[in-house]
Amino acid sequence: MIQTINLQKLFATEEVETTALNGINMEVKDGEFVAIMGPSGCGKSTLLNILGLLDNPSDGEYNFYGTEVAKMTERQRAQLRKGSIGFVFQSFNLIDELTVYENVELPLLYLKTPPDERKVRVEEALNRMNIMHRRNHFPQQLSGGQQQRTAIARAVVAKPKLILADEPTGNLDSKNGEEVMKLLGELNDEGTTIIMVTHSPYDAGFAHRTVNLFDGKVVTENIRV
Amino acid sequence: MLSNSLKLAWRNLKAGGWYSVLNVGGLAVVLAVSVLLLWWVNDELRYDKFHPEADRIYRVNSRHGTGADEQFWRSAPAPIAVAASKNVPGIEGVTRVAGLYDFKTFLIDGKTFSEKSEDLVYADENFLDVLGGFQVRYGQAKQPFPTTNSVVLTEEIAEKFFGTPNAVGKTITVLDSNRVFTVGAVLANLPDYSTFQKKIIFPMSLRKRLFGGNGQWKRMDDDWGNFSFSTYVKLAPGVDPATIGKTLTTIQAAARRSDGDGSLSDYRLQPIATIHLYEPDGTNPGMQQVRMMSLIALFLLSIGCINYVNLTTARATRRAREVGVRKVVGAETGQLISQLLMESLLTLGLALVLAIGLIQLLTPFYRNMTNKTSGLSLLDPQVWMLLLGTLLVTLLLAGVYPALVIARFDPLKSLRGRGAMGGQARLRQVLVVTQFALATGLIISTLVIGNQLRYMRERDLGFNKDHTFTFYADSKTEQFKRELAGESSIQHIATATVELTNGMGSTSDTEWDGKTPGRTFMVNQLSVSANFIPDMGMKLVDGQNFTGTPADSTNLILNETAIRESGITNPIGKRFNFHGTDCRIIGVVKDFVFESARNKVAPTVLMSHPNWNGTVYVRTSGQNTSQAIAAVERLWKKYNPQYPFEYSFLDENYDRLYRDEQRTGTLFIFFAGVAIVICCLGLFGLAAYTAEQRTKEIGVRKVLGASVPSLVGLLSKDFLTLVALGILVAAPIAWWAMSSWLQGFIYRIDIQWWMIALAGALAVGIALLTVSFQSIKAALMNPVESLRSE
Ligand SMILES: Nc1ncnc2c1ncn2[C@@H]1O[C@H](COP(=O)(O)OP(=O)(O)OP(=O)(O)O)[C@@H](O)[C@H]1O
Ligand SMILES: [Mg+2]
Repeated sequence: MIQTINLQKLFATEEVETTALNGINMEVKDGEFVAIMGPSGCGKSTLLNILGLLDNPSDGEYNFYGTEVAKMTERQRAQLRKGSIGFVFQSFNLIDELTVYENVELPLLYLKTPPDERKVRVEEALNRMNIMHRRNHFPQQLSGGQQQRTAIARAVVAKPKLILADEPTGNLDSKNGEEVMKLLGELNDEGTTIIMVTHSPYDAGFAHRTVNLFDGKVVTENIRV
Repeated sequence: MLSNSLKLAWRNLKAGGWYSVLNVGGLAVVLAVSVLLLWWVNDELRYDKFHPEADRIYRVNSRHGTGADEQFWRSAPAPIAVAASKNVPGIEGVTRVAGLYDFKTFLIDGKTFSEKSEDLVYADENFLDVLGGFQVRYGQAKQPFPTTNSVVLTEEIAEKFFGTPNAVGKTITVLDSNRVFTVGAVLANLPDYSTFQKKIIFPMSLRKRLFGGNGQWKRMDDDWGNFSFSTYVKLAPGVDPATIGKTLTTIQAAARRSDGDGSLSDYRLQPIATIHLYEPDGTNPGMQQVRMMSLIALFLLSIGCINYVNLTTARATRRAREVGVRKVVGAETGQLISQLLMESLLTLGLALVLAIGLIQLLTPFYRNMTNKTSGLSLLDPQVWMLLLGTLLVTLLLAGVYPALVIARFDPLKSLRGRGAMGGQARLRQVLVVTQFALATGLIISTLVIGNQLRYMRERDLGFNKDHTFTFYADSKTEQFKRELAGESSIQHIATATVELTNGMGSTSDTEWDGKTPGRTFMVNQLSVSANFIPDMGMKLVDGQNFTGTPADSTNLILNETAIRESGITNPIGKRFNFHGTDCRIIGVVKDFVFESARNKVAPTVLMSHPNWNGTVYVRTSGQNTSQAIAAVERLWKKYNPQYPFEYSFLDENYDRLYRDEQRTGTLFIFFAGVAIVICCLGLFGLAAYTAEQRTKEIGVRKVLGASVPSLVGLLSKDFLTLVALGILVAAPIAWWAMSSWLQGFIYRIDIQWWMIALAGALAVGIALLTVSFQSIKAALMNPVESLRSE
């Protein structure tokens, strides 16, 4: 379970100070599928980055599966991140120099998984995302949907407890978007906790509940019935 | 994991495209050239260190005169060695080496061999033992000369004379005197890094005998005034060389008191390991060259490393996203660092392989330029140490920094884009400034050195060296003169004691009215035929020429320096006592040059004694040189049928005076050129990178109406500012460094403003050319394309 208390995030540049997050209290239980919505610039990505341990809050508390992480260094966060969180981005963020297979293999390499097991798990993830036939292609040679499926394969290959997705369908057409959402839904059905930022009410419909942000604050929460 | 990261590194390298080619190629050139340079430096520094006890072996130098008259010689008279070995505690061994000019033609099995005097030498019987480190192939090191009629050869000569290196016991007849010598030992060919470079060695006892046999008035070991013996002493461990020098001075002074003249000031011991790079007077043109070359090697390596760092960190901007992604999926900084280092290692490894190939290609060229017989061989472990050492240093300098920087990128920022790179842009600017400072410095040095070399070549010699060859005719000069008189291809024939650059003798046996009592005034002496001065193009600035009559026996002509330094005013007609004979100064000749530009023209006394003039100078018309040579050779055959005719051209001998300077000068200019090209390559890559990065900005600006020139200006401006800064930094430093280099020459140019200005203009020009090429390319791009490219 993850929980934030009064989470604040300030961005101070030379000219202006932006309050991206202003007192976020939020709780996500194991196995939940939560959508985050809100107008552009309201702080969705900022929140997701903090939840994903990519960034530190300026203030507040963040309990990540029993550990207080708000004040951790990047090094400590990286340790905690490893193997326990999978990320999916709107712009895929695949490494162009690596093949599909190698992109997916990457998290396991960093986890020092033995080669036999690595092979089994990568192939499993590729099959599951239905891109096994593209395993030796480079990202540039794939369609957007295929790229995003690769990115999801990479996010799940280490079997993380938590998957964070920032507008995963933002760059995809509706057909490919639908497919990605189904995959996320399946993963969630198997017990993975998912937090997803989206602009699409349709996509949000796949989640158990939706958190609406406005100006760095949680304004409403809708629970699917 | 290792093979994986190697594979990745390789793929990344390939993905780099021309940029990788630039990186690897540039590094390869830098590695190859700096390894060659460092090898040369290493070679120079190891001179004479192969003697196992080099730290205890010293050469006995002598100092003569004081103040302006002070001179340092690298030699001593014969008896000081005898005294040193007998009466001086602390000396373990003394050995002498003396030039051999008594003969040079040998008869072996009916074949005649004429060797160069510079390959022949007399040496004390113990010289192999005292100096140590020479490899005796055949015969015994302890007793290389079993008798006075023994000779020691190097393998090369043994092979040449007898067709086999094992020549011990075989005999050589000296043609000039019909003496027969037996080979006592054969030495392995002497290494390049030995100052002692002789090939045929005769025992000193022979010189002793010839000395007495010539009916001279002293025995060799009693002649305290003849400083023509290179004398080496081996001291017992811990003995102070300065003390020994003082003791030797005292001995000489005591011996000389009974002998009259007291020209020696003192003896100084110079460690044998320094005699190659340091002169007896403490100046060190050799060491200066070594420093210069090390500096260029260092410059080259830094320029190469800077290129590498610049290109790598610039490219890292593109890689930032990749690094960010890797971090997000779980890479630790340490893992990323080792991945990036692996890439650097691969790049450097490839560069090394290429460099080794390049070194092989450059070796003949290197040998030619450095005049070393042994280039660097890949079988030599020292070469590998040097190669790997250079590689390691490069890796540390050029590989570690970018790896640390890149691996530390904040993952969030790097995913977003450029934010992570701010600091590196500043660093790159500093590096570009450094690089251009180095390049400008090198251009300035090249200009100064090139001009100094030209100045030396074109220096007014005070006589005409063109179309002239010389040969030694001993006592037959008059016959040659007479019989060649009608030869149409010959313009002038003159005679003198020696060929000018061969070194005239010197003496302190001078006296004139008004000379400070006790002053040692060393002069060079040369006897010339009466027509020598006009026919060889020398100029009289005062008085007149020799008359060509017996009256010349007391006539002297002094050079300007001799007049100036002796302090004689209104010299014409004044008395000048020379070798104990009262003579008269009848003329003053304009200074003429016979030494390198590092030495000042020495005071010189010309006299005219026909029977001292053994060397013939033949000036041809310039058109029929071969005809003139043939004519002389015919006569030679008539008078000396047994000996080959040997002659040399005066201008070539003069070139030889400057050969070392020319060689290092050319080396410097070549290497500086390489460094400048490498600099350009780096800048070219960097400019391309900047242009590429700003493609989108350029597109937007064009859409908004910017003109191509304004865009080129925009893109070039930043670089030009950096280049200008580099010039500002370099100019004063290079000025200072080159001034102190020029100090080593008595005859030198002044550094002119235009040299600095030209160097600056060249640096700017080069930068403009490289940068604007990229800028123009970027500025001409279709804006739609530039906008799409992100
Ligand atoms: N690195 C940063 N430096 C300064 N300000 C930032 C930074 N990152 C985000 N912000 C500001 O914080 C606020 C929230 O940004 P965030 O990216 O979280 O918005 P978002 O809700 O994800 O918007 P969108 O739907 O457009 O992606 C914005 O006002 C943004 O300008
Ligand atoms: Mg966002």
